[in-house]
Amino acid sequence: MTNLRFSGWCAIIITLISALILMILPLPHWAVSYRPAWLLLVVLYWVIVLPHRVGISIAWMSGLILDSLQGTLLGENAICFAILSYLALKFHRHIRLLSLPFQSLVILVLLLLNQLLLFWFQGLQGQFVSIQWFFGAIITSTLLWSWVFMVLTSCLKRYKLH
Amino acid sequence: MGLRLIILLVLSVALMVWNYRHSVLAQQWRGNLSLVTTPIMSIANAPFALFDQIANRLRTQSSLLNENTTLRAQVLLLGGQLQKLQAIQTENRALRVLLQSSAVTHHLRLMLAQVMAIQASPYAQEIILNKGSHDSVFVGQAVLDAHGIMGQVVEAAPYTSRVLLLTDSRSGIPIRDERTGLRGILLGQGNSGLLRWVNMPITSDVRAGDILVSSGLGGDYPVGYPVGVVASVNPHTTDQFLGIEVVPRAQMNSSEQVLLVWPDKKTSS
Repeated sequence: MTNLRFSGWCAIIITLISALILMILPLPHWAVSYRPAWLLLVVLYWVIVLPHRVGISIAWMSGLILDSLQGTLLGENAICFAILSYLALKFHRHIRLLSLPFQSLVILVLLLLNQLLLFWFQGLQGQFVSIQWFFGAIITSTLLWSWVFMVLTSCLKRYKLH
Repeated sequence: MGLRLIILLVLSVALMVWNYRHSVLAQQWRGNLSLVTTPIMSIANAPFALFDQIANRLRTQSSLLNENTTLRAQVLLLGGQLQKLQAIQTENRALRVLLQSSAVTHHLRLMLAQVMAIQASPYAQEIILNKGSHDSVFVGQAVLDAHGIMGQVVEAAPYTSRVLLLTDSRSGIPIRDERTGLRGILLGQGNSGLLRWVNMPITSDVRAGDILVSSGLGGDYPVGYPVGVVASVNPHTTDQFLGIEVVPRAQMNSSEQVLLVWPDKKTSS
């Protein structure tokens, strides 16, 4: 039993690390602003599907690591991740009942909130980012949610995570 | 759950404020956190490094020979230019002694660093180098490529460092016009890849094609390295200042290897 638990944690951590790697992979110049928020999608998936295992604290820590990786102010992504995972945790039963397209809509709203908060923090530091950056990531992330959901669900079944 | 959220929110805000003030302790903390992020960066960089290595192994003898001949020719040319430079340097020193002016000679120490094939920054124009504080890289250090100044180190982790390019909107560099000796400051413009020479009165003598070198004022960047070339001067702006656009000399996006510079100031009179 403990062995199964351990392998489950390994699977979760590996998906998080893969998402982090996808966040820093080089993209061509025109595609940079469309980079999906991979880490946020993966964290939200685990929060929605395994709320008793992955909670706000883990989301917060992933955000902190992302901050360290991207060189943004420490705590900037962490605070967004904590707030979004709190909302996802609060409504995880409702979200799980929805079909994939409707789930994507919920994710769209969460991502909008995320970008708003991020841009607000950037603005507080005196850095203003163009509107293309605002919507680029939201569009691609929303479109990719169904795919992320299916991939991670197959991973969930393989490692028999509960 | 609500309580935990509130604790984390307070913690994040405290972290952000603390980090924003650029304290030395906060920088050390960032360095410690990078022990988690450096392996992730290395994993992301690994396929590209491997591809480079394989490509290097698979080169034909003829292409290597060709490259060797061109490199030899280049070394000869550069050596010739260096001889002239050394002669000029000695002459300059002698003239300064005659004028009895105190001169600051800069003995620079250089080190090669590899640019990692990752984009570890969402909006800012930054690159990651594979050398860090372990190789005595420090925050504020200048970074050059073969053509000119690229930027400065803003974060030095033990084995990696983060370089803010000149083209980032947070970057500024003090410069001097080589033709007229006018001093000024170049600011980055973000994604356009150009620099802007700010606060030059509309009467000042700046022409397209002027070469701008670092003036060394402020002490962050070394003196006399090429920074950029004036691309356009637009006097028809509504205010009292010229709109001057500058193309940086360094190749911000295509450099794979860069030079880290250590200043070593010795004042001689």
